[in-house]
Amino acid sequence: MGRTQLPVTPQFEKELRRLSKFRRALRHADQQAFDDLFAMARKHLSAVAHAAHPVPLVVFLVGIMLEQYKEVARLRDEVEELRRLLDG
Amino acid sequence: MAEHTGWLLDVYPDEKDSVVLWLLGEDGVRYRFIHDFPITFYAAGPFDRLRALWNYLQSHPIPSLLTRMKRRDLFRGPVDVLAVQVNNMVAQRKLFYKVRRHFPDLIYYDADLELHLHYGATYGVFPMARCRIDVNQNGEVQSISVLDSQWELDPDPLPLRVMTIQPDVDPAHASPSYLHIVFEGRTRRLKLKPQRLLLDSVARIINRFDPDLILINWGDTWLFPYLLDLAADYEIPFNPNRDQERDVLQRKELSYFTYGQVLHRGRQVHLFGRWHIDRCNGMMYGDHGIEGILEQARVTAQPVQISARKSPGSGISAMQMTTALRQGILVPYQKQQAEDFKTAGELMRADWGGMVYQPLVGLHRDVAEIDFISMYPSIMVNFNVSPETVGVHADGQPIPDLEISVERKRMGLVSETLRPLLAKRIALKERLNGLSRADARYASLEARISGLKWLLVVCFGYLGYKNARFGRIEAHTAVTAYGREALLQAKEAAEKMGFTVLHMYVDALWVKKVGASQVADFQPLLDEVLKRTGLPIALEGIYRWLAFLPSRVDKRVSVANRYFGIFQDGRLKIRGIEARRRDTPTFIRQAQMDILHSFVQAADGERLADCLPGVIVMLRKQLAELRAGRVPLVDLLVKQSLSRELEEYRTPSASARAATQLKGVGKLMRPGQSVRFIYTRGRPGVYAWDLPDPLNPAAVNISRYGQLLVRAAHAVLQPLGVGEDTLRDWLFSSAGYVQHADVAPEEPSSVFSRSVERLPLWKHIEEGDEPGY
Repeated sequence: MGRTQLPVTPQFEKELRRLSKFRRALRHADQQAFDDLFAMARKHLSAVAHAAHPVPLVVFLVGIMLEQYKEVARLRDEVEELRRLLDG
Repeated sequence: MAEHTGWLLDVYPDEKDSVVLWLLGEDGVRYRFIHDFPITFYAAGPFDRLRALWNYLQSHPIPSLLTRMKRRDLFRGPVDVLAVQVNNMVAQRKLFYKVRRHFPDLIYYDADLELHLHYGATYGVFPMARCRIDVNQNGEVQSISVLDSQWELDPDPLPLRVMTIQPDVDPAHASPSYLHIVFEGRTRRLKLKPQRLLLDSVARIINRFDPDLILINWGDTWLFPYLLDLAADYEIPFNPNRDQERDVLQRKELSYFTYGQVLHRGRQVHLFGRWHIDRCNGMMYGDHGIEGILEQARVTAQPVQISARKSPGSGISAMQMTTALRQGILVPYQKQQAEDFKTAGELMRADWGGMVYQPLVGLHRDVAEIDFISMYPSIMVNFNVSPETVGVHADGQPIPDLEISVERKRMGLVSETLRPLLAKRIALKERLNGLSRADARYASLEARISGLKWLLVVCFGYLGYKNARFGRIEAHTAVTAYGREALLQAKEAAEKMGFTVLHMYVDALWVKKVGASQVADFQPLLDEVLKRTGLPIALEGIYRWLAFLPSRVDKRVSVANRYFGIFQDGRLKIRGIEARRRDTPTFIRQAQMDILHSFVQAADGERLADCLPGVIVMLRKQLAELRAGRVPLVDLLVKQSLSRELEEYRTPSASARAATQLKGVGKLMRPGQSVRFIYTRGRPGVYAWDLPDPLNPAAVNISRYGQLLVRAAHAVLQPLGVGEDTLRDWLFSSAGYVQHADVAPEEPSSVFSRSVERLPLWKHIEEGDEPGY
């Protein structure tokens, strides 16, 4: 059995390169946001490798959504906490 | 033998005299000379077919001189051709059309070029060129030399005799009863009836005054056809030509599709020995007037009457053909260059246009607009982009985004053609920048620059136009690729220097930085962009404030080309709003401009809201005038052009319904022609302006115009945070304007909030010290 897939880190770098033209055309502030998002995806590289998905970008995006969801949930908890403090 | 010096007025082919030249002599005399000028065309193909052509031509009644030779095809290199020389152009055309029918399989070159191209390329002449001509006693030209250049920045002004003629009303709208004729500072008024007398008088005046240039309102579409028909009816001779041996040349009307719209060209009447320009039919007259037309004629070497009527595209292709003729490059009769094969991926990367950004919607202060000067032509000249230089040599300079390269060693045909044109425009523009607007030379210089600008604008389109003889799509995509790269480099330079890039649009970018408001603050950026891209740029100006408007359909989305602003010198720049649109009624345009002008009075963006009470009073007054029927009907006219034949409309648009009314009275409208109408109540909802019976003012659809007014006012008031409903309240409720609580900056929309929170501009808004979105 040879290797049919690139290892996950080079795969990730390749996807980033494919998006580099998109990133280049963004305003500076949006470029920072872009980098933040893909830093989130990087957290899940080993899970992506496990997925062995034919279109790795999809899995990277799911990784980003996951992190976003966790952030939203954290903020929601914080808002509720603050509201309790205010009402209290 | 006699020597004459003067200015070249006209050159045209003649069956008997080969070529006729008209010279405006320095002595004030208008000379008609003739010149023996043979024309050569070429045929290429298999040897046996050329042999057959040779035999055919030798036995043909039209005599020709045949030679075998090698000439250069732009794309294929040297080819074996049969050169066919014919005595004059009229005979050449007859012969060529016969040959083409008998030998359709051969490739022809230089076969259908107009005389002025051959003649201009051979002798270097162009319209209005200062020439010295030696002629013999029969008026036959022995030698001709040009004393100035078409690239001359200050050509000698021609002592032209100009006559202007205009009817008292637009003949499409009503029957004129008078003609106003102006010459030598005198005005004559001629009655149109009795017709015979009119014909006599016009002929007599033209004959006596002998103008070089006749400028007529509706001369092509109405006056000359009318007079010529009269002359035929009364069987009396009427010949407005200076060359009395020729009849006037008439061309039929035409509808055609170009640049995504249907255009209409009216009938044309060309004169011989003098120029006739219709001020209402010329493609370009409305854009830059007579000075622009003459400038175009000079640089393209196309006759004045053609420059006035044809698109700048024909001008640029004439220039390319002249370059080819001068360099001995064959001009193909029909284009044979096919597009190269590309993979889907290559096509995806290559086939998009210029860089278009989504601007940051809202009101911005101290914004600099930086423009690349004639970006696409500059790229073609700078990077040598030409159909024969792109993608042919692997060792050339690689093009960004594309898998092909450009040859740098040999100057391309298109680059070579554009270089002097671009240099001339930049030189004249620099001169214009040094003049005050009040200067007497300003308007004419501006018109000339505009004439040159249009040539440069279309040359890019011709590079990708499949029917252009020297067009090739690969060269076209190369230009946009260089353009996008230049803009991205400019953006990166700006962001590196701490500027916020508000917007980018093909060849311009808008930037701002806290503390930067003077030219010197932006100069380092200009220098850096020039250094990185190698393309000439200029600071178009610094806006006191500038508003980028959202889409009308979804206000969370910005659109690329809808904005208005005021430069520090008080100049307004508006794009994409009603006042810029051609179909907007004068009443609406005026109201919108009035609002913008009241903004100009405000010292800066912060005080804009102070204008609101005044603006509301003004708008209420305009609405009252509208309701009272005091707005002149002509100011309510909507002008829209037809995009297809009437039968082809499935749900007729307002313009189609108006055109149908006109058809009912026998006035046929063609696609590309514009129809003028007024919105009326009930069905069919419109009334065509050019119907014979005047419209009853009571039928005007007041509420429709009221809505148009509100919409136009809202477009320019929204950056102050005025919603359309609020505006309606102010205008239509009896309470009038009160300081509503909701006139406050609207929340930045979610689309932008992510990028927005890091921008200093939005911080201002959040703190509430600047009106905006």
